Amino acid sequence: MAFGKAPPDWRLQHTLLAGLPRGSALRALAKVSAGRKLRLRCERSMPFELVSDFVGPFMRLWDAEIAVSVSDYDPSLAGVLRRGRGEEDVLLLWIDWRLHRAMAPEQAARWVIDLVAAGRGASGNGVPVLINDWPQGGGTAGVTDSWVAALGAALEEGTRNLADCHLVRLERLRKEEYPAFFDPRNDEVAHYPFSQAATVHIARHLGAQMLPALVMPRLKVVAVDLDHTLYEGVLGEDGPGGVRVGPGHQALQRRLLLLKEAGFILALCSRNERVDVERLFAQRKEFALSLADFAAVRVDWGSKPDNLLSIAAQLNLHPSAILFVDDNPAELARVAEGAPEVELVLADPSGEGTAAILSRHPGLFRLRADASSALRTQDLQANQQRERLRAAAADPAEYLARLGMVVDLFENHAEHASRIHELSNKTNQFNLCLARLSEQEVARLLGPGNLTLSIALRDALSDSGVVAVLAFEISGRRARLVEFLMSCRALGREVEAVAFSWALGRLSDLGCELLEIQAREGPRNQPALEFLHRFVPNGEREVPLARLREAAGRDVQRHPAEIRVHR
Amino acid sequence: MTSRERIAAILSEILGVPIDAAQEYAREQAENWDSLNHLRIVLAFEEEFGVSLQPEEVVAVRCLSDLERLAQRTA
Repeated sequence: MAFGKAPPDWRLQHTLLAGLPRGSALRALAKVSAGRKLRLRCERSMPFELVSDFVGPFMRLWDAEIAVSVSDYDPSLAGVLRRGRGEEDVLLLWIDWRLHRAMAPEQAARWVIDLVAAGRGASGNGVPVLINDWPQGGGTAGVTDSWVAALGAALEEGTRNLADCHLVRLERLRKEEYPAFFDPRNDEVAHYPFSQAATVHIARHLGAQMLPALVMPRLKVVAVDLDHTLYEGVLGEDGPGGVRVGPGHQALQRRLLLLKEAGFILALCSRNERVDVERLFAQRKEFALSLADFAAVRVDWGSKPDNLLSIAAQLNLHPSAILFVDDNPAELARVAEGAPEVELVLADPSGEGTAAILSRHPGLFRLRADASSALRTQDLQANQQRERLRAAAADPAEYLARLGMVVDLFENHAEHASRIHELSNKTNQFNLCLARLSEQEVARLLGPGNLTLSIALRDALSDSGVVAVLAFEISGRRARLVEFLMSCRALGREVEAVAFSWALGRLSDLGCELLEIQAREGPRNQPALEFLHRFVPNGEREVPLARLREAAGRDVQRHPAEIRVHR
Repeated sequence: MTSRERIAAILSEILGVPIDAAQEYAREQAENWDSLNHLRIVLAFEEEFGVSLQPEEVVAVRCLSDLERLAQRTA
């Protein structure tokens, strides 16, 4: 998602994300070839073309383009059962739910969920599936708001329980800001019930939010400037009591808090005096944010590119996981030059446009709730205390002993499926096989015949939650390491070695004698490859388990963590 | 640009054919002026001229001159 050394087109960013762009503005955006082409197949019972006209322009924000193929109109959606030929990346079921109003809503939802499951069984096609719900207020006879609400609830439950299946929440879009979601004239002409504004809104939701969330690495950090970004004014000149906080700034601060609650890490990167910033957050009671909401703070007179890179290093993240918001285009240009992988947003002075951009920016949308969001900021702040402990300790062993670590090993624990999927798709540095597991693959690996360990960690300073995964396929005396992942938050405490050693012992107990390891080199997974190199220095693909177990066991025999196993 | 030229530009862009604003252009002349493109044309016209057509007007549009009359009415 990096934009390279040239900063983004600010006007395009504001046009597409801050307000609702006009159809003519979207049509005027020339088609350009992008770095990634996404193929979307649409099985439908109402027109999708009016939406797909406008999806592509929003995908320019993340250097992608779209190729859409649509089925004939078919209320039965029988095409879902067609054998897949690997020709699509995403399947969309675009359903005119009014056609199913004779059914009970729960029955209608069950029909489509069963259809998707049957389609996967028949075709072996495991691509992600999107299904639309229905907005209230359409006024069609027999389609009451209570019927629509019950349908939405049943679809929510059905898609939550079906791997890689997600809801396009039209009802949520309707409630966001556009009362005229329906247009009966469009319905009369083309059996397309939605207004032009709703159409652009739906296209933006798909192109800027849902599709990137399906296929791109997510952003993890939102770093913000202070002056003319979180408030109006210059702190160094106006003082903590003199800067002005308007409704747009309050909306922006609330938006940042929502992002934090959704699992994103907040960081502060500003050229100011630290003491002024501390006074500002202490004095201004109308601030929704407090200084403690930021997991990393760089308030000094150093360069912003250097400070953003230092935030990435502190959080153990690649700079491409950071989105930086600043009001100064010259400052942003310097970041684009000095830290080119950091993504950038130009703040508007009122804060209102910035809040709107952050509510829709690619990489900031979660398809499912983040399973460990509540723990993240506290855990990252604890890492700074750990660094101080490490510096004060006489040697590494004393440091680890002082932490009082407890490692919980969960064997094939289906309740962790969502977290395992999340770790597989967001972990870049300690990701040995880069398997990028789908929800369906996670469900299979948690099933019989496989060994999948989810590993939780806590110490005296914080509870890190589930931070690592080891997944093996077992076939007789052979085991294959499908994936080994660890959150960068948990690195530096040798927990990966503890878990690896324990897993090898468990495989041995299960009768395995040989381990197949297909590590893959990616752009950022050097830490995982270096870890493996400790035990497999020659890069062998198949290693006798006994030899590996001895080497790994030697490595962790004095590790002080308490290990608890849950089967 | 005259209203007629702006309308011709909309028709040309959506139907993918060159259209001379000096000439009449009717639905029958375009193979691809189907219901979806009809909707695209009307919605683009409304946005361009800042108007909202009545349902019966949407259905009644048959040619460039129909749209020109609607544009003049709302001018």
